[in-house]
Order: sequence, then structure tokens, then C-alpha cells
Amino acid sequence: MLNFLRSKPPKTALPRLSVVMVAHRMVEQAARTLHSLSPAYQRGVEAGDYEIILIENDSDQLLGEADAMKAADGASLRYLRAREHTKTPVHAMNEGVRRARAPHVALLIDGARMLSPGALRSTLDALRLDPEAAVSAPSYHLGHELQQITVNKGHDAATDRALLGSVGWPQDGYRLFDIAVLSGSCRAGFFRPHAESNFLAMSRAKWDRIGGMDLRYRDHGGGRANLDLYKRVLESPGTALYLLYAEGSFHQFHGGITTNTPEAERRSIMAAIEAQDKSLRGSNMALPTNVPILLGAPHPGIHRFLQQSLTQGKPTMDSKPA
Amino acid sequence: MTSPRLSVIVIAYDMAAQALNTLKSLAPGYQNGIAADDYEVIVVENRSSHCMDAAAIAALPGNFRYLLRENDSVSPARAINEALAEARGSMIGIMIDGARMVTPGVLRFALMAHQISPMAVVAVPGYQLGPEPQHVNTSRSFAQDIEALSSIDWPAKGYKLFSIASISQANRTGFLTPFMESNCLFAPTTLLRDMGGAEERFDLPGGGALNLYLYHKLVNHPETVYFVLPGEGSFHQVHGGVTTSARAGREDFLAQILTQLNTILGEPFKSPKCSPILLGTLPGPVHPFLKISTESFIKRTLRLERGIEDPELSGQHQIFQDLHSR
Repeated sequence: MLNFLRSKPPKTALPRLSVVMVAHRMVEQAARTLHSLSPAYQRGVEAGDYEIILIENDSDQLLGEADAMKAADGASLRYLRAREHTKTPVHAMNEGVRRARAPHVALLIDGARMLSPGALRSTLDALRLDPEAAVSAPSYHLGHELQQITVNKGHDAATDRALLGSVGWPQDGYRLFDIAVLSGSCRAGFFRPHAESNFLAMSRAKWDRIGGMDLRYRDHGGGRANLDLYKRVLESPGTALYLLYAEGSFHQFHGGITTNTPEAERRSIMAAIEAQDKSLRGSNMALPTNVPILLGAPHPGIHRFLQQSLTQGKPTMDSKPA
Repeated sequence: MTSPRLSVIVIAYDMAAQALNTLKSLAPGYQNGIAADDYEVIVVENRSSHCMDAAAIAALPGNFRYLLRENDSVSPARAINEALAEARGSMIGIMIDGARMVTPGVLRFALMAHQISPMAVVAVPGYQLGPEPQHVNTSRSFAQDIEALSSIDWPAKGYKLFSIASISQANRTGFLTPFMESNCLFAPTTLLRDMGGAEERFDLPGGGALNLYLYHKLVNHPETVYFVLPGEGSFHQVHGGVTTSARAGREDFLAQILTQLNTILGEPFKSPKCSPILLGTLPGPVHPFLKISTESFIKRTLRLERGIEDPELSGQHQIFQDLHSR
């Protein structure tokens, strides 16, 4: 469970969106993610449009408030340090959302996932169309293969540093697509169902209705808590899914449990995660089948992924509104 | 009754059966995700010897208004402007060729774009019924269109239109790259009125290049936000269109159209190059066109990266191909 070391509610006008981000032992990566959320990097939004709530779970490697503020580069940021005694982000996420001031929340359960520059603007556009929508951006891994694979070939934080340097990040955030692959949960591309989202926005009311993260996922970095949440959000009545197909969240190497553990150890962890998930959800694990409404401007970075998506079969037929 | 949010203008001339299909495709029940009160359809027909059946239009559900006018011009420009004066919505849809039926999400997504930005200009990609372009297969008849529509159980299955159609020349590289024009085009009412509506100097049969001009002006306007609906379409049914098929003096006529366009523009026409924001779902039958679109998009980007002028957008050459295909 959590103990919070500080919390500072600001006295500014209410933002339209609260971005809630959880970090744990990922100093360098969380700083980059914060920068990718800054008004300097995000296009078409102003600092007053959104707030960031960063919950950093305690460890011997903390980003800390001062450096977080610096990285967020002008964004309205609230930093909370939490004493988490279990290996899970679910408590932090629920607490972060509880403190959100905006009518809508966007969740970055893994603070190592940086964003492309149109993510926030497009999210606000979609939520203006349908305040009860779920908005998601596809997930990617930095690298030329999934990090679950490349970690066994020596992929580490230095590899990411070199990759980011090769595209001059953060100058043009859309170049992230040039150095990334689709995550396993999104491998079916843009036109078929996904298993989870690492950038998921919804109304605060919807979050409250579905009860937030399931606190029983209290080990293994949260295990499949995020998949469970995604399914419950998308399957809640009257939920249209907006897919920001031209945006993305990009996973950096940070020694995460499911993505960055070497294969031998990973196999046993994944078995434990699967067993935990099965005990909690039983057989109710089918992917949500909402037909996505695509929103966004195509750019050269999504070439490869459009092609990949086309090889995964036809889009689903039903185009009736949710 | 409150004012509708959207007014759709449909222009018809000597295409009674085709235009009625178009109106059916705009009716509540066929159009999904939009309430009947959210929009009106203003049908303006220039009188011919084969006028539409006013009773059949009146029998359609929803807000249809039918205006039959004396055919005082070979151009649809005045008809459009008369409808524009009547329109009550804050967004206008212009369907300059009443023979183009649409898919069921067109109005819903057009209004959504308008909701994202009141300055949204929304283009719907064009298609033609039949496996090959109608200007290539000039022997195709409306009876074949009827047969094809029946084979897909239209209007019950509106998205199956994609499975009996080919892509229009105006957007032959798909929906991820710039169009030449759109025959189902939405724009803010105030902007259209400020622009003076449809330019009546386009006085050639069918309006000549009026539609290209309109599209060009709207998408190049500095304040508009350009949207494309990738999973929707407008589908041309065979009719005796002014630039269709092998008419005597065709080349001369096309040259006349181009000259008029360049004169009114005050410079040689160049296709708009702006990139769209895509909005909408992708129904299964659109898949082959998604493939075409993706391939063209990749080729174009690679060309532009190498600094090569885009042959698809050289304007003068492409406009001839577009006009030829009507």
C-alpha cells in the first residue's frame, strides 16, 4: 500500500485533461517521458490544457521533484512520491487518478513510455467529440525487434540513447516511429483488436464507474492489470474507441519485468503472471472487439506500420456507432 | 423545429433514377449515428424532360426539400447558390453531381469533423460503380449499376458499395494523398457564403471546373482544417454526364474547361498538396482501397524525400485525366 511523502494541489484554472504517470526505478526514461508530455514537445496544446500527475514509487533510484519539473519543461506537473511496499503500479495509478482535477484522465501506467507529439491534442479532439469515449494510441518498443527479444542480445539503456540520438530526438518526435516496432499487444496493427494500451484516456466518471485498476494485481509489476483495465474500459456500455493511429507510446528499456527481463527468468515470471491473471479473470480474457474510429494525420513514420497492419487481414465490417 | 446542424445540397439534372438512389443514401435510417433532425437535404433539380418524382422524394423519411427550377444555365452554379441561400445548417455538404450515392457514415463523420473544428473542410473519396472506371468502360449502362446494387443487397448493406466499385480519377492514389477534387464536400456555411458561394463565371456545361475550383479554394484557405473520411465514399452511377463518354469535340471541350479554370484562378491550376486528418472507421470492404492508398502514400513520401516533383500533382496534366474520367 501507499504512503505519500508530498502532495501539492495547485490553484490554477481546471485543466481539460489529467495525465497520470507512474514511475519506478526509471530516472532517465521517466525524464524523457515527461519531456514528451511538455508543451514544448506536444503540438497544438497549451500548458493550461492539461496537468501531469507523476507518482514515483520509492526506490534507491529516484527522479525526484526538481528534475521532474525540469524535464516537464513548463507543463503543470504535480509530483508525488509514494512508499509502495509491493511490486505493482496499481495503487499509484488509482491514487494518481483520485487526485486528478480534470474531467478526463490519460493513463501512462509505465512511465518509460514516451509519446509522439500529437497525442494530447488528438486526445482532446476525440474527447470533445465524445466525452464518454476511450482514446488510445498504439504501443511501440524502441529498437528493431521487441525488447523482450533484444534484451537477450544486449539491448540496454545505452542502446536507446544511441537510437534516440540517431533521429535527433526530441527535435521531431515523429521520428520515434523510425526506430521502433509495434508492441506485442498491438502486433495486429491498426485495424485489428489490441490487448492493451499504454496511453489510454477516458472520462473520470467512467474510471470511477469501472472502479479503476484492480488492486488484486499486486505483484509482478502489476502483471496483466493493464490488460484487464483496457478490456473493462472498452467493454463498458456506450464506449466508442478512438484510435490515434498516427500517434504512439514508445517503450524505453528500463529493466521492466515483462519487457526487459532476460528470457530464462522471464519464462517463469510470465507463467506466474498468467496464473495470477487466470485466477482473477478466469476465462474472460478475449480481446475487446470495439471497432476503432481512426483519428489523426498520416505521416511518413507510419509507413511500415500501415503495411504491417494490411497484412493482418481485413478491418472489421461493422461501422455502426457504439 | 430547431435548425438542423447540417444542410446537404444535391444538384440533379436529367438523372431521375440515379438521384433518387442518392437521396435514399442520404435518408435517416440509411445514414447511421445521426438524428433526422440534425440535417436537411436540399435537392435542386434543373428542369429536363426526365424530372425526378416529387412524390417519391416527399415519401422519404427525414428533412428533404425539393426545388425544381427552370434550366436557365448549363452550369449548376446558380442552383448551388439558390440552395445555399435556403440552407439553415452551420455546415454545408455539396454534392454537385446528384448521381453520386454515399455510404452510411458520411454525414455522421462530417459533423464530427465540424465539431472538432468549426472551420473543418471534409472531403469524401470518390468511387464509380463497376469494376473499371466508367470513362474506360463507356459501354456500361445504368441497368448494370442496378444489377450490381441488387447483388450487394443495397441499400440494406451500404458499405458493400466498395465491393462493386473502382476508385475515381480525382483521388486515384487513394485517401492518404491529396485529391484533385471531391464530389461530396463539406465546408462551413459562413465560409462558403463569404466566398460568394459557387463561382457563377463557371458557365460551361456541368459547371466545367467549378468543383475543382471550389475544392481548391476551400482546402487551400488559410483557416480551414482539412479532413478526409477514409472509410466512406461517394459512388458515381452511370448517367449521361457532360464530360462522360466519347462525345464529339471532347478534347476541345476539356481544353476550354482548363482555360476557364486558369483564367478565373488568375494562374495555372495546381492541385492542392495539403495533408488530411483522417477520421472514421474502416469497414471491411474498403480494404483493397486502403492497400492502394498505403502504397501510393509510401511512393509519394519517398519521392518527396528525394526532392522529386510529384507527378500526380503537376496540375495541368492531371486535371485532364480527372476531367476525362467524369
